[in-house]
Amino acid sequence: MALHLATNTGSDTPIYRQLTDQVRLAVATGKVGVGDQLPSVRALAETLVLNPNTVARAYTDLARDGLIEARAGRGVFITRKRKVFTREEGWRRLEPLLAALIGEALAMDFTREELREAFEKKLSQWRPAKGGKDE
Amino acid sequence: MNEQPVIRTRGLTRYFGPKPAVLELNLEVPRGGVFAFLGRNGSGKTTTIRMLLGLLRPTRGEGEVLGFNTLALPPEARARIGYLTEDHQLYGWMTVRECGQFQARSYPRWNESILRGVLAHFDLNPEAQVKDLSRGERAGLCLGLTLAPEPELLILDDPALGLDPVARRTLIESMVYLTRRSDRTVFFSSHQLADVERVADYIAVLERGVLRACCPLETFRTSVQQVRLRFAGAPPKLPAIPGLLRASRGEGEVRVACMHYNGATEQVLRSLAPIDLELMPISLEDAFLAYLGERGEKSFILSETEGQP
Amino acid sequence: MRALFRKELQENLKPAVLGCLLLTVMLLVQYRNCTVVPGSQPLLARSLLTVTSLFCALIGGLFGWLQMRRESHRDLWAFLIHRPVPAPNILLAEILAGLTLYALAAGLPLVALVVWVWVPGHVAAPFEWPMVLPVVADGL
Repeated sequence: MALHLATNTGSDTPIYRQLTDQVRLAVATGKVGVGDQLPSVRALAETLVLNPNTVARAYTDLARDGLIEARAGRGVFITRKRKVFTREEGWRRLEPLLAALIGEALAMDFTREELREAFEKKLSQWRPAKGGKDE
Repeated sequence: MNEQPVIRTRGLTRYFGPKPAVLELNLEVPRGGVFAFLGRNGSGKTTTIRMLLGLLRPTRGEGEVLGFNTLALPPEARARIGYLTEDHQLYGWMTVRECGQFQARSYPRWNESILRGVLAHFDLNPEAQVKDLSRGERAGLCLGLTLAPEPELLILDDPALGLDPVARRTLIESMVYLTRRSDRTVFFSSHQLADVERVADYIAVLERGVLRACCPLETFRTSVQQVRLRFAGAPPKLPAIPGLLRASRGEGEVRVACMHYNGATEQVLRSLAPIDLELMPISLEDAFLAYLGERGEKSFILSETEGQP
Repeated sequence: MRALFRKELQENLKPAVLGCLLLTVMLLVQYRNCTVVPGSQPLLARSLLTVTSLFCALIGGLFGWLQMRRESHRDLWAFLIHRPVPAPNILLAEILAGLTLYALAAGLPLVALVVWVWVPGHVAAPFEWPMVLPVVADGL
Protein backbone atom coordinates (compact mmCIF):
# COMPACT_ATOMS: atom_id res chain seq x y z
CA MET A 1 0.00 0.00 0.00
CA ALA A 2 1.42 3.31 -1.04
CA LEU A 3 -0.14 5.22 1.79
CA HIS A 4 2.31 6.43 4.40
CA LEU A 5 0.76 8.17 7.36
CA ALA A 6 2.66 10.13 9.95
CA THR A 7 1.65 12.29 12.87
CA ASN A 8 3.12 15.20 14.74
CA THR A 9 2.49 15.99 18.33
CA GLY A 10 2.59 19.59 19.46
CA SER A 11 1.06 20.76 16.24
CA ASP A 12 -1.80 23.22 15.96
CA THR A 13 -3.74 20.54 14.15
CA PRO A 14 -5.27 17.81 16.27
CA ILE A 15 -3.91 14.39 15.46
CA TYR A 16 -7.14 12.99 14.07
CA ARG A 17 -7.30 15.89 11.66
CA GLN A 18 -3.72 15.29 10.56
CA LEU A 19 -4.76 11.77 9.64
CA THR A 20 -7.86 12.80 7.71
CA ASP A 21 -5.93 15.51 5.88
CA GLN A 22 -3.29 13.04 4.84
CA VAL A 23 -5.79 10.50 3.61
CA ARG A 24 -7.68 13.16 1.68
CA LEU A 25 -4.46 14.38 0.13
CA ALA A 26 -3.44 10.86 -0.79
CA VAL A 27 -6.75 10.28 -2.52
CA ALA A 28 -6.64 13.63 -4.28
CA THR A 29 -3.14 13.10 -5.61
CA GLY A 30 -3.77 9.54 -6.68
CA LYS A 31 -1.42 7.92 -4.19
CA VAL A 32 -4.28 5.68 -3.22
CA GLY A 33 -7.26 4.82 -5.29
CA VAL A 34 -10.73 3.50 -4.89
CA GLY A 35 -10.64 -0.02 -3.59
CA ASP A 36 -7.31 0.32 -1.79
CA GLN A 37 -7.35 -0.94 1.74
CA LEU A 38 -6.44 1.09 4.79
CA PRO A 39 -5.07 -0.51 7.95
CA SER A 40 -7.59 -1.34 10.65
CA VAL A 41 -8.09 1.11 13.47
CA ARG A 42 -6.12 -1.03 15.87
CA ALA A 43 -3.31 -1.74 13.44
CA LEU A 44 -2.86 1.91 12.59
CA ALA A 45 -3.05 2.88 16.25
CA GLU A 46 -0.30 0.46 17.12
CA THR A 47 1.88 1.42 14.18
CA LEU A 48 1.64 5.14 14.84
CA VAL A 49 1.53 4.67 18.60
CA LEU A 50 -1.75 6.47 19.04
CA ASN A 51 -4.85 5.99 21.07
CA PRO A 52 -7.19 3.87 18.92
CA ASN A 53 -10.02 6.28 19.65
CA THR A 54 -8.13 8.99 17.82
CA VAL A 55 -7.76 6.78 14.77
CA ALA A 56 -11.39 5.74 15.06
CA ARG A 57 -12.41 9.36 15.04
CA ALA A 58 -10.40 10.05 11.91
CA TYR A 59 -11.94 7.06 10.19
CA THR A 60 -15.42 8.10 11.27
CA ASP A 61 -14.91 11.55 9.79
CA LEU A 62 -13.60 10.13 6.55
CA ALA A 63 -16.48 7.67 6.34
CA ARG A 64 -18.97 10.44 6.99
CA ASP A 65 -17.49 12.37 4.10
CA GLY A 66 -17.82 9.36 1.87
CA LEU A 67 -14.11 8.85 1.44
CA ILE A 68 -13.78 5.45 3.05
CA GLU A 69 -16.06 2.67 4.05
CA ALA A 70 -15.84 -0.28 6.37
CA ARG A 71 -16.81 -3.59 4.88
CA ALA A 72 -17.94 -6.01 7.53
CA GLY A 73 -15.27 -8.56 8.31
CA ARG A 74 -12.98 -7.40 5.51
CA GLY A 75 -11.57 -4.07 6.59
CA VAL A 76 -11.53 -0.42 5.65
CA PHE A 77 -11.35 0.63 2.02
CA ILE A 78 -11.15 3.79 -0.03
CA THR A 79 -14.42 4.25 -1.70
CA ARG A 80 -15.88 6.28 -4.50
CA LYS A 81 -16.60 9.70 -3.31
CA ARG A 82 -20.29 10.10 -3.05
CA LYS A 83 -21.60 13.60 -3.56
CA VAL A 84 -22.22 14.30 0.09
CA PHE A 85 -21.40 17.95 -0.25
CA THR A 86 -23.62 20.63 -1.56
CA ARG A 87 -21.92 22.90 -4.01
CA GLU A 88 -21.72 25.52 -1.30
CA GLU A 89 -20.11 23.18 1.16
CA GLY A 90 -17.68 22.10 -1.50
CA TRP A 91 -16.61 25.68 -2.25
CA ARG A 92 -16.26 26.31 1.43
CA ARG A 93 -13.83 23.45 1.66
CA LEU A 94 -11.96 24.50 -1.40
CA GLU A 95 -11.56 28.13 -0.46
CA PRO A 96 -8.84 27.74 2.17
CA LEU A 97 -6.87 25.45 -0.14
CA LEU A 98 -7.00 28.08 -2.89
CA ALA A 99 -6.04 30.81 -0.46
CA ALA A 100 -3.11 28.77 0.78
CA LEU A 101 -1.90 28.04 -2.74
CA ILE A 102 -2.17 31.61 -3.98
CA GLY A 103 -0.73 33.08 -0.81
CA GLU A 104 2.24 30.73 -0.86
CA ALA A 105 2.98 31.30 -4.54
CA LEU A 106 2.78 35.07 -4.33
CA ALA A 107 4.89 35.07 -1.18
CA MET A 108 7.57 33.28 -3.17
CA ASP A 109 7.42 36.12 -5.70
CA PHE A 110 5.82 34.18 -8.49
CA THR A 111 3.68 36.42 -10.67
CA ARG A 112 -0.01 35.86 -11.14
CA GLU A 113 0.63 34.97 -14.76
CA GLU A 114 3.13 32.32 -13.78
CA LEU A 115 0.69 30.92 -11.28
CA ARG A 116 -2.14 30.83 -13.80
CA GLU A 117 0.07 29.07 -16.31
CA ALA A 118 1.23 26.50 -13.79
CA PHE A 119 -2.34 25.82 -12.80
CA GLU A 120 -3.53 25.35 -16.38
CA LYS A 121 -0.62 23.09 -17.13
CA LYS A 122 -1.23 20.90 -14.11
CA LEU A 123 -4.90 20.66 -14.87
CA SER A 124 -4.39 19.60 -18.44
CA GLN A 125 -1.89 16.98 -17.39
CA TRP A 126 -4.00 15.69 -14.57
CA ARG A 127 -4.41 11.94 -14.49
CA PRO A 128 -7.54 10.98 -12.58
CA ALA A 129 -7.15 8.95 -9.36
CA LYS A 130 -7.24 5.18 -9.96
CA GLY A 131 -10.76 4.09 -10.67
CA GLY A 132 -12.18 7.55 -10.11
CA LYS A 133 -14.04 9.58 -12.59
CA ASP A 134 -12.59 12.83 -13.81
CA GLU A 135 -15.39 15.32 -13.38
CA MET B 1 -23.55 -1.61 31.93
CA ASN B 2 -22.26 -1.07 35.39
CA GLU B 3 -19.73 1.66 34.93
CA GLN B 4 -18.29 2.16 38.32
CA PRO B 5 -15.23 4.34 38.13
CA VAL B 6 -12.00 2.45 38.76
CA ILE B 7 -10.70 5.34 40.85
CA ARG B 8 -12.79 7.74 42.86
CA THR B 9 -11.77 10.29 45.44
CA ARG B 10 -13.86 12.51 47.66
CA GLY B 11 -12.35 15.52 49.28
CA LEU B 12 -8.94 13.88 49.29
CA THR B 13 -6.55 16.16 51.10
CA ARG B 14 -3.02 15.87 52.35
CA TYR B 15 -0.99 18.41 54.25
CA PHE B 16 2.74 18.32 54.80
CA GLY B 17 3.11 20.62 57.73
CA PRO B 18 1.14 23.77 57.00
CA LYS B 19 1.27 23.32 53.25
CA PRO B 20 -1.43 21.42 51.41
CA ALA B 21 0.06 19.14 48.79
CA VAL B 22 -3.38 17.98 47.67
CA LEU B 23 -6.55 19.89 48.47
CA GLU B 24 -10.11 18.60 48.35
CA LEU B 25 -9.57 16.38 45.36
CA ASN B 26 -12.71 14.98 43.77
CA LEU B 27 -11.59 12.75 40.97
CA GLU B 28 -13.33 10.05 38.99
CA VAL B 29 -11.48 7.85 36.57
CA PRO B 30 -13.77 5.80 34.32
CA ARG B 31 -13.01 2.21 33.47
CA GLY B 32 -11.29 1.57 30.17
CA GLY B 33 -9.07 3.89 28.22
CA VAL B 34 -6.13 6.03 29.12
CA PHE B 35 -6.36 8.74 31.76
CA ALA B 36 -3.59 11.31 31.94
CA PHE B 37 -2.92 13.15 35.16
CA LEU B 38 -1.23 16.41 34.28
CA GLY B 39 0.46 19.04 36.32
CA ARG B 40 3.76 20.75 36.86
CA ASN B 41 6.41 19.38 39.15
CA GLY B 42 5.30 19.64 42.72
CA SER B 43 1.64 19.99 41.85
CA GLY B 44 0.69 17.02 44.00
CA LYS B 45 0.49 14.20 41.46
CA THR B 46 2.82 11.78 43.21
CA THR B 47 1.23 12.51 46.58
CA THR B 48 -2.17 11.72 45.12
CA ILE B 49 -0.96 8.48 43.63
CA ARG B 50 0.65 7.40 46.88
CA MET B 51 -2.63 8.03 48.66
CA LEU B 52 -4.54 6.08 46.06
CA LEU B 53 -2.32 3.09 46.69
CA GLY B 54 -2.62 3.26 50.43
CA LEU B 55 1.05 4.15 50.84
CA LEU B 56 0.28 7.53 52.34
CA ARG B 57 -2.50 8.39 54.69
CA PRO B 58 -4.65 11.35 53.66
CA THR B 59 -5.20 14.16 56.11
CA ARG B 60 -8.86 14.26 55.15
CA GLY B 61 -11.18 12.73 52.66
CA GLU B 62 -11.17 9.29 51.14
CA GLY B 63 -10.32 7.39 48.03
CA GLU B 64 -11.58 4.25 46.38
CA VAL B 65 -9.75 2.07 43.94
CA LEU B 66 -11.56 -0.79 42.19
CA GLY B 67 -14.29 -0.25 44.73
CA PHE B 68 -12.04 -0.74 47.75
CA ASN B 69 -11.10 1.92 50.25
CA THR B 70 -7.52 2.99 49.64
CA LEU B 71 -6.63 2.65 53.29
CA ALA B 72 -7.57 -1.01 53.25
CA LEU B 73 -6.62 -2.46 49.90
CA PRO B 74 -6.91 -6.22 50.19
CA PRO B 75 -4.40 -8.50 48.46
CA GLU B 76 -6.86 -9.36 45.68
CA ALA B 77 -7.12 -5.69 44.83
CA ARG B 78 -3.35 -5.26 44.81
CA ALA B 79 -3.11 -8.24 42.50
CA ARG B 80 -5.21 -6.36 39.97
CA ILE B 81 -3.35 -3.06 40.23
CA GLY B 82 -0.02 -2.50 38.58
CA TYR B 83 2.14 0.27 39.98
CA LEU B 84 5.18 1.78 38.36
CA THR B 85 7.06 4.31 40.46
CA GLU B 86 8.95 7.33 39.27
CA ASP B 87 12.35 5.99 40.18
CA HIS B 88 11.89 2.43 39.01
CA GLN B 89 13.35 1.23 42.29
CA LEU B 90 14.33 -2.37 42.73
CA TYR B 91 16.74 -4.31 44.93
CA GLY B 92 20.18 -3.64 43.51
CA TRP B 93 21.67 -6.96 44.48
CA MET B 94 19.10 -9.03 42.61
CA THR B 95 19.62 -10.16 39.06
CA VAL B 96 17.01 -9.57 36.40
CA ARG B 97 15.98 -13.19 36.59
CA GLU B 98 15.72 -13.10 40.38
CA CYS B 99 13.48 -10.05 40.20
CA GLY B 100 11.17 -11.92 37.90
CA GLN B 101 11.09 -14.94 40.17
CA PHE B 102 10.57 -12.84 43.26
CA GLN B 103 7.58 -11.05 41.77
CA ALA B 104 6.11 -14.13 40.16
CA ARG B 105 5.86 -15.82 43.54
CA SER B 106 3.73 -13.05 45.00
CA TYR B 107 1.16 -12.87 42.23
CA PRO B 108 -1.57 -15.43 41.58
CA ARG B 109 -1.70 -14.52 37.90
CA TRP B 110 1.60 -14.23 36.12
CA ASN B 111 2.22 -14.19 32.42
CA GLU B 112 5.89 -15.05 31.97
CA SER B 113 5.77 -14.52 28.21
CA ILE B 114 4.86 -10.86 28.70
CA LEU B 115 7.86 -10.37 30.96
CA ARG B 116 10.12 -12.16 28.55
CA GLY B 117 8.80 -10.08 25.68
CA VAL B 118 9.53 -6.82 27.45
CA LEU B 119 12.96 -8.00 28.59
CA ALA B 120 13.79 -9.01 25.04
CA HIS B 121 12.61 -5.68 23.73
CA PHE B 122 14.91 -3.86 26.11
CA ASP B 123 17.67 -6.32 25.41
CA LEU B 124 18.13 -7.23 29.06
CA ASN B 125 20.51 -9.94 30.19
CA PRO B 126 18.75 -12.14 32.76
CA GLU B 127 21.92 -12.55 34.76
CA ALA B 128 22.66 -8.83 34.96
CA GLN B 129 22.43 -7.27 38.39
CA VAL B 130 19.94 -4.50 38.87
CA LYS B 131 22.57 -2.12 40.21
CA ASP B 132 24.47 -2.43 36.93
CA LEU B 133 21.51 -1.52 34.79
CA SER B 134 21.06 1.89 33.24
CA ARG B 135 18.00 3.90 34.14
CA GLY B 136 16.28 3.01 30.91
CA GLU B 137 17.00 -0.70 31.40
CA ARG B 138 15.68 -0.57 34.93
CA ALA B 139 12.55 1.13 33.66
CA GLY B 140 12.14 -1.65 31.12
CA LEU B 141 12.53 -4.28 33.81
CA CYS B 142 10.02 -2.55 36.06
CA LEU B 143 7.61 -2.26 33.16
CA GLY B 144 7.88 -5.96 32.46
CA LEU B 145 7.38 -6.84 36.13
CA THR B 146 4.35 -4.59 36.29
CA LEU B 147 2.71 -5.87 33.11
CA ALA B 148 3.25 -9.57 33.70
CA PRO B 149 0.44 -9.98 36.29
CA GLU B 150 -1.91 -8.52 33.64
CA PRO B 151 -3.35 -5.85 35.92
CA GLU B 152 -6.78 -4.38 35.34
CA LEU B 153 -5.60 -0.98 36.41
CA LEU B 154 -2.16 0.29 35.65
CA ILE B 155 -0.98 3.27 37.67
CA LEU B 156 2.16 4.92 36.36
CA ASP B 157 3.84 7.78 38.19
CA ASP B 158 5.69 9.91 35.69
CA PRO B 159 6.89 6.82 33.86
CA ALA B 160 8.82 8.68 31.18
CA LEU B 161 10.99 10.60 33.64
CA GLY B 162 14.63 10.27 32.77
CA LEU B 163 14.03 7.90 29.89
CA ASP B 164 15.63 8.16 26.48
CA PRO B 165 13.30 8.48 23.49
CA VAL B 166 13.48 4.79 22.63
CA ALA B 167 12.47 3.68 26.11
CA ARG B 168 9.75 6.32 26.17
CA ARG B 169 8.40 5.08 22.90
CA THR B 170 8.25 1.52 24.19
CA LEU B 171 6.40 2.75 27.23
CA ILE B 172 3.75 4.47 25.15
CA GLU B 173 3.47 1.45 22.91
CA SER B 174 2.72 -0.66 25.97
CA MET B 175 -0.03 1.74 26.93
CA VAL B 176 -1.57 1.53 23.48
CA TYR B 177 -1.22 -2.24 23.61
CA LEU B 178 -3.06 -2.39 26.91
CA THR B 179 -6.06 -0.62 25.45
CA ARG B 180 -6.76 -3.73 23.42
CA ARG B 181 -8.96 -4.83 26.27
CA SER B 182 -11.69 -2.35 26.97
CA ASP B 183 -11.85 -3.34 30.63
CA ARG B 184 -8.24 -2.30 31.20
CA THR B 185 -7.50 1.20 32.43
CA VAL B 186 -4.26 3.13 32.38
CA PHE B 187 -3.79 6.01 34.78
CA PHE B 188 -0.56 7.88 34.35
CA SER B 189 0.84 11.14 35.57
CA SER B 190 3.02 13.13 33.28
CA HIS B 191 4.14 16.45 32.09
CA GLN B 192 5.05 15.22 28.65
CA LEU B 193 2.27 16.72 26.60
CA ALA B 194 3.39 14.98 23.44
CA ASP B 195 2.75 11.60 25.03
CA VAL B 196 -0.55 12.76 26.45
CA GLU B 197 -1.67 14.01 23.09
CA ARG B 198 -0.94 10.64 21.56
CA VAL B 199 -2.60 8.28 23.93
CA ALA B 200 -4.89 9.99 26.42
CA ASP B 201 -8.65 9.70 26.30
CA TYR B 202 -9.19 11.76 29.43
CA ILE B 203 -7.12 14.29 31.27
CA ALA B 204 -7.11 15.77 34.74
CA VAL B 205 -5.06 18.83 35.53
CA LEU B 206 -3.68 19.40 38.98
CA GLU B 207 -2.19 22.73 39.95
CA ARG B 208 -0.76 23.35 43.39
CA GLY B 209 -2.81 20.51 44.75
CA VAL B 210 -6.10 21.72 43.29
CA LEU B 211 -7.96 20.02 40.46
CA ARG B 212 -8.42 22.43 37.60
CA ALA B 213 -9.91 20.19 34.97
CA CYS B 214 -11.19 16.66 34.55
CA CYS B 215 -12.65 15.83 31.19
CA PRO B 216 -12.08 14.08 27.89
CA LEU B 217 -9.00 15.35 26.11
CA GLU B 218 -11.08 16.44 23.15
CA THR B 219 -13.30 18.58 25.37
CA PHE B 220 -10.27 20.35 26.78
CA ARG B 221 -8.90 20.96 23.33
CA THR B 222 -12.08 22.43 21.94
CA SER B 223 -12.75 24.48 25.04
CA VAL B 224 -9.65 26.58 24.63
CA GLN B 225 -9.63 28.78 21.57
CA GLN B 226 -7.23 31.28 20.17
CA VAL B 227 -8.38 34.40 18.36
CA ARG B 228 -6.23 36.81 16.43
CA LEU B 229 -7.28 40.42 16.12
CA ARG B 230 -5.52 42.72 13.72
CA PHE B 231 -5.43 46.46 14.04
CA ALA B 232 -4.27 49.31 11.87
CA GLY B 233 -2.18 50.92 14.54
CA ALA B 234 -1.33 49.98 18.07
CA PRO B 235 -3.85 47.59 19.51
CA PRO B 236 -6.17 49.10 22.08
CA LYS B 237 -6.35 48.10 25.68
CA LEU B 238 -8.44 45.04 26.22
CA PRO B 239 -11.66 45.22 28.16
CA ALA B 240 -12.84 42.42 30.39
CA ILE B 241 -13.26 39.44 28.12
CA PRO B 242 -15.30 36.53 29.42
CA GLY B 243 -13.21 33.40 29.72
CA LEU B 244 -9.93 35.17 29.02
CA LEU B 245 -6.88 33.03 29.67
CA ARG B 246 -4.07 34.92 28.10
CA ALA B 247 -3.59 37.89 25.82
CA SER B 248 -0.43 38.74 23.97
CA ARG B 249 0.25 41.79 21.88
CA GLY B 250 2.37 41.98 18.80
CA GLU B 251 2.79 44.57 16.12
CA GLY B 252 -0.67 45.63 15.13
CA GLU B 253 -2.22 42.52 16.49
CA VAL B 254 -3.48 40.91 19.63
CA ARG B 255 -3.83 37.20 20.23
CA VAL B 256 -6.34 36.16 22.78
CA ALA B 257 -6.60 32.71 24.25
CA CYS B 258 -9.91 32.14 25.94
CA MET B 259 -12.28 29.48 27.04
CA HIS B 260 -15.69 28.64 25.65
CA TYR B 261 -15.51 31.14 22.87
CA ASN B 262 -19.01 32.01 21.80
CA GLY B 263 -21.12 34.77 20.30
CA ALA B 264 -20.91 36.94 23.38
CA THR B 265 -17.13 36.76 23.43
CA GLU B 266 -17.00 37.53 19.74
CA GLN B 267 -19.14 40.61 20.27
CA VAL B 268 -16.85 41.95 22.94
CA LEU B 269 -13.87 41.41 20.67
CA ARG B 270 -15.51 43.00 17.67
CA SER B 271 -16.34 46.04 19.75
CA LEU B 272 -12.64 46.82 19.64
CA ALA B 273 -13.06 47.42 15.90
CA PRO B 274 -10.25 45.26 14.60
CA ILE B 275 -9.49 45.12 10.89
CA ASP B 276 -9.62 41.41 11.07
CA LEU B 277 -10.75 38.75 13.55
CA GLU B 278 -9.73 35.20 13.00
CA LEU B 279 -10.04 32.00 14.94
CA MET B 280 -6.65 30.34 14.98
CA PRO B 281 -5.82 26.74 15.65
CA ILE B 282 -3.98 26.20 18.91
CA SER B 283 -1.71 23.35 19.91
CA LEU B 284 -2.42 21.30 23.00
CA GLU B 285 0.69 22.66 24.63
CA ASP B 286 -0.31 26.28 24.11
CA ALA B 287 -3.82 25.54 25.30
CA PHE B 288 -2.43 23.89 28.38
CA LEU B 289 -0.04 26.72 29.13
CA ALA B 290 -2.73 29.32 28.63
CA TYR B 291 -5.09 27.43 30.86
CA LEU B 292 -2.58 27.23 33.66
CA GLY B 293 -1.24 30.72 33.08
CA GLU B 294 -1.39 33.76 35.28
CA ARG B 295 -4.93 34.62 34.47
CA GLY B 296 -6.09 31.08 34.00
CA GLU B 297 -9.72 30.59 34.77
CA LYS B 298 -10.14 29.26 38.24
CA SER B 299 -13.30 27.54 37.18
CA PHE B 300 -13.71 23.94 36.31
CA ILE B 301 -14.11 22.54 32.87
CA LEU B 302 -17.24 20.46 32.92
CA SER B 303 -16.72 16.90 31.97
CA GLU B 304 -18.99 15.52 29.32
CA THR B 305 -20.52 12.95 31.57
CA GLU B 306 -21.36 14.87 34.67
CA GLY B 307 -22.98 18.20 35.15
CA GLN B 308 -21.47 19.30 38.41
CA PRO B 309 -18.63 21.79 38.63
CA MET C 1 5.53 -15.05 51.85
CA ARG C 2 8.25 -17.64 51.55
CA ALA C 3 9.72 -15.64 48.72
CA LEU C 4 9.86 -12.56 50.93
CA PHE C 5 11.49 -14.54 53.72
CA ARG C 6 14.09 -15.92 51.40
CA LYS C 7 14.75 -12.57 49.84
CA GLU C 8 15.34 -10.98 53.24
CA LEU C 9 17.70 -13.79 54.18
CA GLN C 10 19.64 -13.40 50.97
CA GLU C 11 19.77 -9.68 51.28
CA ASN C 12 21.12 -9.60 54.82
CA LEU C 13 23.37 -12.59 54.63
CA LYS C 14 26.60 -10.69 54.23
CA PRO C 15 26.23 -8.49 57.31
CA ALA C 16 25.11 -11.57 59.23
CA VAL C 17 28.23 -13.49 58.36
CA LEU C 18 30.34 -10.47 59.20
CA GLY C 19 28.69 -10.13 62.58
CA CYS C 20 29.16 -13.80 63.22
CA LEU C 21 32.84 -13.65 62.46
CA LEU C 22 33.37 -10.60 64.60
CA LEU C 23 31.62 -12.17 67.53
CA THR C 24 33.72 -15.27 67.13
CA VAL C 25 36.87 -13.22 67.15
CA MET C 26 35.83 -11.30 70.23
CA LEU C 27 34.91 -14.47 72.02
CA LEU C 28 38.21 -16.02 71.15
CA VAL C 29 40.09 -13.04 72.47
CA GLN C 30 38.16 -13.04 75.69
CA TYR C 31 38.58 -16.76 76.07
CA ARG C 32 42.31 -16.42 75.71
CA ASN C 33 42.36 -13.79 78.41
CA CYS C 34 40.31 -15.96 80.70
CA THR C 35 42.29 -19.12 80.32
CA VAL C 36 45.49 -17.35 81.26
CA VAL C 37 44.29 -17.60 84.84
CA PRO C 38 44.06 -21.30 85.56
CA GLY C 39 40.94 -22.69 87.17
CA SER C 40 38.74 -19.84 86.17
CA GLN C 41 35.36 -20.43 84.69
CA PRO C 42 35.46 -18.84 81.24
CA LEU C 43 31.77 -18.91 80.81
CA LEU C 44 31.24 -16.94 83.96
CA ALA C 45 34.04 -14.52 83.35
CA ARG C 46 32.94 -10.94 83.70
CA SER C 47 34.80 -9.76 80.73
CA LEU C 48 33.38 -12.47 78.55
CA LEU C 49 29.87 -11.72 79.60
CA THR C 50 30.33 -8.02 79.11
CA VAL C 51 31.61 -8.63 75.66
CA THR C 52 28.80 -10.99 74.80
CA SER C 53 26.05 -8.75 76.06
CA LEU C 54 27.44 -5.65 74.44
CA PHE C 55 28.18 -7.29 71.20
CA CYS C 56 24.95 -9.16 70.91
CA ALA C 57 23.01 -5.99 71.57
CA LEU C 58 25.09 -4.20 68.98
CA ILE C 59 24.67 -6.86 66.37
CA GLY C 60 20.96 -7.10 67.02
CA GLY C 61 20.55 -3.36 66.72
CA LEU C 62 22.69 -3.13 63.64
CA PHE C 63 20.74 -5.85 61.94
CA GLY C 64 17.43 -4.20 62.59
CA TRP C 65 18.80 -0.91 61.35
CA LEU C 66 20.20 -2.45 58.20
CA GLN C 67 16.94 -4.17 57.43
CA MET C 68 15.05 -0.95 57.85
CA ARG C 69 17.53 1.09 55.89
CA ARG C 70 17.22 -1.13 52.85
CA GLU C 71 13.57 -0.28 52.53
CA SER C 72 13.77 3.32 53.64
CA HIS C 73 13.78 4.61 50.10
CA ARG C 74 10.14 5.43 49.54
CA ASP C 75 9.77 3.79 46.21
CA LEU C 76 11.50 0.62 47.32
CA TRP C 77 9.16 0.38 50.23
CA ALA C 78 6.28 0.91 47.82
CA PHE C 79 7.65 -1.94 45.72
CA LEU C 80 7.68 -4.14 48.78
CA ILE C 81 4.25 -3.22 50.09
CA HIS C 82 2.35 -3.10 46.86
CA ARG C 83 1.84 -6.79 46.22
CA PRO C 84 -1.00 -9.21 46.83
CA VAL C 85 0.36 -10.29 50.21
CA PRO C 86 -1.30 -8.96 53.36
CA ALA C 87 0.84 -6.29 54.98
CA PRO C 88 1.16 -8.11 58.32
CA ASN C 89 2.57 -11.10 56.47
CA ILE C 90 5.15 -8.94 54.80
CA LEU C 91 6.26 -7.59 58.13
CA LEU C 92 6.28 -11.04 59.65
CA ALA C 93 8.48 -12.37 56.90
CA GLU C 94 10.95 -9.58 57.51
CA ILE C 95 11.01 -10.09 61.25
CA LEU C 96 11.36 -13.83 61.02
CA ALA C 97 14.20 -13.49 58.56
CA GLY C 98 15.91 -11.03 60.85
CA LEU C 99 15.54 -13.28 63.89
CA THR C 100 16.75 -16.31 62.02
CA LEU C 101 19.86 -14.59 60.86
CA TYR C 102 20.52 -13.15 64.26
CA ALA C 103 20.05 -16.53 65.90
CA LEU C 104 22.58 -17.98 63.52
CA ALA C 105 25.04 -15.12 63.66
CA ALA C 106 25.09 -14.77 67.41
CA GLY C 107 24.05 -18.27 68.27
CA LEU C 108 26.67 -20.18 66.38
CA PRO C 109 29.73 -18.67 68.01
CA LEU C 110 28.15 -18.93 71.45
CA VAL C 111 27.15 -22.53 70.95
CA ALA C 112 30.61 -23.25 69.63
CA LEU C 113 32.13 -21.69 72.71
CA VAL C 114 29.92 -23.66 75.05
CA VAL C 115 30.73 -26.87 73.24
CA TRP C 116 34.42 -26.09 73.35
CA VAL C 117 34.35 -25.48 77.06
CA TRP C 118 32.30 -28.61 77.55
CA VAL C 119 34.46 -30.95 75.56
CA PRO C 120 38.02 -30.57 76.90
CA GLY C 121 36.64 -30.58 80.42
CA HIS C 122 38.15 -27.35 81.66
CA VAL C 123 35.20 -27.02 83.86
CA ALA C 124 33.50 -29.52 86.07
CA ALA C 125 30.56 -31.06 84.34
CA PRO C 126 27.78 -30.33 86.86
CA PHE C 127 28.36 -26.68 86.55
CA GLU C 128 27.94 -26.89 82.90
CA TRP C 129 24.35 -26.14 82.13
CA PRO C 130 23.54 -23.31 84.54
CA MET C 131 26.65 -21.58 83.33
CA VAL C 132 25.27 -21.49 79.85
CA LEU C 133 22.38 -19.41 81.02
CA PRO C 134 24.05 -16.02 81.40
CA VAL C 135 25.51 -16.35 77.96
CA VAL C 136 22.17 -17.32 76.52
CA ALA C 137 20.53 -14.46 78.37
CA ASP C 138 23.03 -12.12 76.80
CA GLY C 139 22.30 -13.56 73.43
CA LEU C 140 18.63 -12.86 73.82
